[in-house]
Amino acid sequence: MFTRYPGPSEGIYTVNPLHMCVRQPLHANDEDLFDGMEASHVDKPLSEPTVMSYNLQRIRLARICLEITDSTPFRSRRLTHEQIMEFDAKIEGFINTLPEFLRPDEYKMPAARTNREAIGRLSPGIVIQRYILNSLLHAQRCKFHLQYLGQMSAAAEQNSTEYLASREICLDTARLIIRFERALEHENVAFAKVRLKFSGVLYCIFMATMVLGLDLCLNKKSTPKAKIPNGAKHGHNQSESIDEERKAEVVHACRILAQARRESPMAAKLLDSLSKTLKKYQLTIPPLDRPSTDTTDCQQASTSSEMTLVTDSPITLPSNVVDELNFRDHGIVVDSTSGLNDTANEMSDISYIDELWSTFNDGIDFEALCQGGWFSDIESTF
Amino acid sequence: MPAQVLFVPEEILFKACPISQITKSQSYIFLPPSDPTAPTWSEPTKCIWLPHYSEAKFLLEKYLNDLTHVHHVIHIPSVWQLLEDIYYQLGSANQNVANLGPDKVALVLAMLTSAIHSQDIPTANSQAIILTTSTLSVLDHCKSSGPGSLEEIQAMIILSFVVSHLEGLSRRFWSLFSEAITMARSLGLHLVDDDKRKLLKSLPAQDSVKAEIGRRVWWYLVASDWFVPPFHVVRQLSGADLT
Repeated sequence: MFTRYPGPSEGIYTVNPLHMCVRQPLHANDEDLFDGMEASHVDKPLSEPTVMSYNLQRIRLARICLEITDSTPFRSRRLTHEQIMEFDAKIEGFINTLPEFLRPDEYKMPAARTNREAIGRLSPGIVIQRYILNSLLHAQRCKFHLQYLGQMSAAAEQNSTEYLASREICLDTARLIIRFERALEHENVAFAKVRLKFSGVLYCIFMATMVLGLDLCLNKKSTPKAKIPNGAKHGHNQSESIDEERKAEVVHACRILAQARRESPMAAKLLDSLSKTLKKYQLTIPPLDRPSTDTTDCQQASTSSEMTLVTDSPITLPSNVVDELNFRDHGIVVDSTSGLNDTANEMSDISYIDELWSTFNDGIDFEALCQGGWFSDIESTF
Repeated sequence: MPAQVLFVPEEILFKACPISQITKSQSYIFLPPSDPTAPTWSEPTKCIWLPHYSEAKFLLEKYLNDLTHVHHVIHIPSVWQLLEDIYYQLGSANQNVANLGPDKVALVLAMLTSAIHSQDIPTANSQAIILTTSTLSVLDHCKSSGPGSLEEIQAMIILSFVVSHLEGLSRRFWSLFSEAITMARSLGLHLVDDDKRKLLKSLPAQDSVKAEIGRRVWWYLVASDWFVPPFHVVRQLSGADLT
């Protein structure tokens, strides 16, 4: 899970594929291995889960990455949009050929989803392998298209379809990453409880949160041209409900990150780096900037957010999301029956999103934000 | 004439105690003189503390259940055997490092460190930092005392994983990662299936479990190396604008 992040070694690999003579590891469980074994007898079909399933798929994905690196001119470090879409198709092909047990339900139509019994049959090890592989995969794919998200407002004006395609992929992958998180939280696997300690996991969630947050702002401008179908009668209502859904998505993603801060020094560093970067754009994040938020603070925060609220409609979230939001900044889970505090907490988290969002609407240069190294700032802390 | 040892590694000793008592990555202790007629003064010896046997077993089990899936560069029956061997040696009167093999201790310590880090308790990170330092110290000792081994590479991969969670892709992380690749090459892991491999006597037989573990290790490192970000952030506005 150690992908390489931007830096001086960006676009460079050290192992030449021509300078090695090692066949891929066998797709086999440890107890199947013995001295003097015949490889072809031990090797299992990829459709059967083993302890090596994720590793072998990871190698397949690494080969695609190698191909991408080799196709990218070193001087410009840029691919054309056509090339990007070509490689994206390869990644999609990779996803489509994953063995069934490594394909999360989130890829499938509700009717085709595995029933609970079948999920129960997957070992915890396979649940972990599936989660790691798919999060990593989508973080890579998301990043592939990220530059176009920043150019969306310009693209919408030009009605540029290629930019729209990349933005859709960016959003879809970010949503999938958050959905994988939600799905794993419901799995009865010890790894799920401690996963936020892992920097690779944090990286995926962070990327997804940024993309969703940015798009929430960008989409305000691009909605009329990009989203609403011509002549749709209920276009306005639909877009409102989509907006609500999107806010809930970002709130959920931020909630995961706030939780992560208590699990990992890395998350604390990341959030710190994020808030510093945001400050450069005159944007502050109330609950994260204040070490402790007492009720007065929260009320103030909620009042200020009401004043800067851009949307006319109040934000309503499904009750389970609100419940999940009731984490205090200092790590105490507040009982949902504790009246006043409850509302205050809920408001402080929502006001965080609103402030972020409203400040974005006040004319931040999105292109500069996306291209100018916001993500590099975050990534350089890894 | 036997080769002259130019750099004599510092003596190192392993001992086990309850994990809650491991508050430092290493300590220096005075050993009773092996020769009673020797002068009474002596230098203290560096001591690395390992968790108790029962704790180590619990932690290894945890590592194998929850964590190995994210890289699986080991062979489960082999690491259980390793744990038994190490604690057998620790329990015996002769706790000599030469018998234990510091590389093997490093591998076991790295897995235990990873398990401690992943525990859902408030002290998990601070304990993981202590044990990470211990493991680094043992790896350092390996460097000065032997030619490198598969276990050392496995230990470096697993430990680099913990380091990346604690402090990101830091200098410590890259040092472990690049040394793992270099050592893998020097052991010939990139030639495991080469026809001319006979030149490399250090390599295990192609059909052995050890060769297969070598392939797992090599391919894990290679895939990590190739995982470059497939898209590069355009940073025309970075630098002065952002700092």
